[in-house]
Amino acid sequence: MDRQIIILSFIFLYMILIIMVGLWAMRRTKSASDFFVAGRSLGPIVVGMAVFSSTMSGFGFVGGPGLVYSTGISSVWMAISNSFGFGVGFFLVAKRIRMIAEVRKTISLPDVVAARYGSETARLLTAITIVLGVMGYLATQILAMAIVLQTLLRATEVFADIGLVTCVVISSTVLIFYCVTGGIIASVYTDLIQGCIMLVAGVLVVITAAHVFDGGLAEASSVILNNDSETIMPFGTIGIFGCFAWFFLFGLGLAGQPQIVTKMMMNRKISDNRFILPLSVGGYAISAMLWISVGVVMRALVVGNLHLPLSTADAATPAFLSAFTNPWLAGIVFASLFAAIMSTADAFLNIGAAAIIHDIPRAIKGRVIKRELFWARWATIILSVVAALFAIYSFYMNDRLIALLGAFGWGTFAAALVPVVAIGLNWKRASRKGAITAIVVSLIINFALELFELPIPYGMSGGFIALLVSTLLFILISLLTKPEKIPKDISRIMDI
Amino acid sequence: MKFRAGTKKREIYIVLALLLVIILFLGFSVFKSMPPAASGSPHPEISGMRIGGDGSARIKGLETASFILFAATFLLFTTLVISGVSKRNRTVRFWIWMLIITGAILFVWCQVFDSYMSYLSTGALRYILGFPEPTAWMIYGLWGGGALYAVVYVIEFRKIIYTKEDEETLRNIVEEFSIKGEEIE
Repeated sequence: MDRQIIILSFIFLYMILIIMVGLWAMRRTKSASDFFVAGRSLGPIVVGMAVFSSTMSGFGFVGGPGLVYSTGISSVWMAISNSFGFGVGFFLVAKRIRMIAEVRKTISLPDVVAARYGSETARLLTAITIVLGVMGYLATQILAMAIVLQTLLRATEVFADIGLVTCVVISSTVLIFYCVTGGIIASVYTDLIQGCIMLVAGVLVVITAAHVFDGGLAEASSVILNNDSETIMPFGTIGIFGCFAWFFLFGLGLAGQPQIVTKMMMNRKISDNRFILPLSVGGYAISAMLWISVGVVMRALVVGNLHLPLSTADAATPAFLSAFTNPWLAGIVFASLFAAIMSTADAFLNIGAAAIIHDIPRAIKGRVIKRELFWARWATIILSVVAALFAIYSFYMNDRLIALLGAFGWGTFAAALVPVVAIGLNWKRASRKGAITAIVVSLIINFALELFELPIPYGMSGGFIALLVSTLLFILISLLTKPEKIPKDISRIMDI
Repeated sequence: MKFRAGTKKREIYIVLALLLVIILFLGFSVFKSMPPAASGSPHPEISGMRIGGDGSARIKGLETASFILFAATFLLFTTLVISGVSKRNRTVRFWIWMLIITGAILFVWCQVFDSYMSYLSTGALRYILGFPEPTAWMIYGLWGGGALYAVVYVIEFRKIIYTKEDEETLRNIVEEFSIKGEEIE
C-alpha cells in the first residue's frame, strides 16, 4: 500500500475514534458542571493522562525537536523542568483546588480565584487573561494542525492542490464537534486516547532514533560535538542564562497553567492525586524523549553531511519520519501529533468557553447566565471559529499577530496565575491588591515586551521576567497591605 | 513525631529572599558587559541553525552567578513544596525527605556544573547513556531529581498530603459550608 495512504488512514481512523468519543460523551453531559469539570467524577488514569497530554502540546512533537535542531540542548531545559513543575504544582494546588471545588462547587479557575480573594475584579482579570491566552494558543494549535494536514494531503495525487483554508476547516470541524457535543468529558476521554497514542509513538520513535547511527545516540552526540561542542553541552547554543530563564518559567509556570490546573478539580477523590501525579510525570517524560532524540539525530545528520539542511527547523520531525520510519510507525506518530495538538486545543476551548459564559458575566453582572450549558456550547463554537479565522488571517496577512497573542500563552498564564493561585492558595496573608497587581503587571510586561520587541539580555524569555516581577510584587504588596479576612471555609481549607 | 507550631506559614519570607537573590545576581550580570555570543550566533554554513561557539569565553565572569541562580531556583522549588504541606503534617520524616531531595538535586546540579566546567578547561569527556557527561547529568539526573517530589507525594500521601484527619476535617467543612451547585441546567 502507498505510504501516504497508510499515514492518512491512521489519521482518518483517529479522527473517527474521537468523533465517536464525542457522541458517547454527549449523553453523559447534562449540566454546565458536567460540561466544564466533568461533574468531578473522573478516575485517576483519565485525569493523569489528561494532565500530561494537555501539557505536551503539538509543540513537544514539532516545535521541540525543531528547537533542538536549531539551538541544541537549550530547549531541553523546558522538558526537564516539568518533573519539578508537576511536583510543585501538585503540592501547591492539586489538593486545595479540589477541596475548594467540593465545598464551593466551583467549575472554573476564576471561580477559585474569586472564592479565595472574595474579589470579582480578580475573577474578571483572571477570566480576561484566560481568554487572551486561549486565543493565542488556540490559533497556533489550529494553524499547526492545518499545516500538517495540508503537507500530508498534498503528497497524494488526489489532494495535491488542497488549500490551507480547507485544512483549517477539516481539522477545526473535528475539534469543534467533539468539544461541543461532549464538553470536558469528551475532552478528557479523548485526552486518554491521545495520551496513549503519544506514549506509544514516543517509545517507538526513541527506539528508532537510537538506531539511526551505528553508535546510537552517543555517536549522534559526538558528531554534533565535533561541529560545535556547545550545542550538545547542557546549556546549548542559547547559553546558561537563557536556559535558566526557560527552566524557571516552565518549572514554576506549570502550576499556573489553567488548562492543567482546572483538571485538578475533576477527579472523583482527592486521594486519587497520588496516582495522577506519577502518571503525569512519567507520561510527559516518555513523550519528551521523542523531542530530544529526534532533534539530536536530525541535527547530527545535517551537520555530519548525511542529510540536506532542513527548510525550517519545524520540519525536523516530518523529515525524520519520512527518512527513518516505516509508514505504519509514521502513521502512528502523525496521529499522535494530531492527538497532541487536539488534546491541548480542547483543553483551551473548554476553559475559554467557561471564562466567556460563566466567569465574565458573573464578574460583571454578579450572577451566572441562564441556560449555561446551551451557551457554553455556542461559546465553544464561536471561540473555535474566531481562532480559526484568526489563524488564517495571521498566516496570510500578519504573522506577528499570532506571535503577539502567543506571548499571552504559557508566559502570561505563569506570570499572572502562579502567584495568585499557587502561592495564594497556600499563604493566608496574600491580598486581593497583591493578586490584582500581579495579574495586571504580568499582562503589561508580556504585552509590552512582545509589542515593542524589546531586547532582553542573554536571550532570556519575556515570560520569565514577567513571572519574576509579578511574583515579587504579589508578595511585597500582600505584606505591605493590611491583612484581609478570608472566608471561613477557605481559611479552614488552607489549614489542611 | 510532629512539630506543632500553629498554622501560620513563614516560608514566604524564604521565597521572597530567594527571589531577591535571583534578581540581585541577574541584575549584577546584566549590568556587566555581556560576553561575546553569550546567547549564541547563527551557524556559518547552515541557515536556521545556531552555534554556541567558545564555551569558556561566554561563561567567563558569569560562573558564580550562573551556579547560584540555578541553586536558588532549586531551593525555591523545595520551599514552595514545603509551603504546600499543612503545618500539622510536617513530621520529622517529612523534613528528612525534604533534606534528602534538596541534597540530591543540589548534588546533581554540582555534577552538571562541575563536569561542564571541567570539560571547558580540559576538553576531556565521556559519554553516559548517549550524551556527554554534563548533558547526561542534566537530562537524567535533574529530571530524576525533580521526579523525587512525585515519589514523596506518592509514598507519603496519607501521612503528609492528605491524612485521615484531613479527610475528616474536609468532611466537616463540606457539611458546614457546602453551597448548592451553580449549574442551573
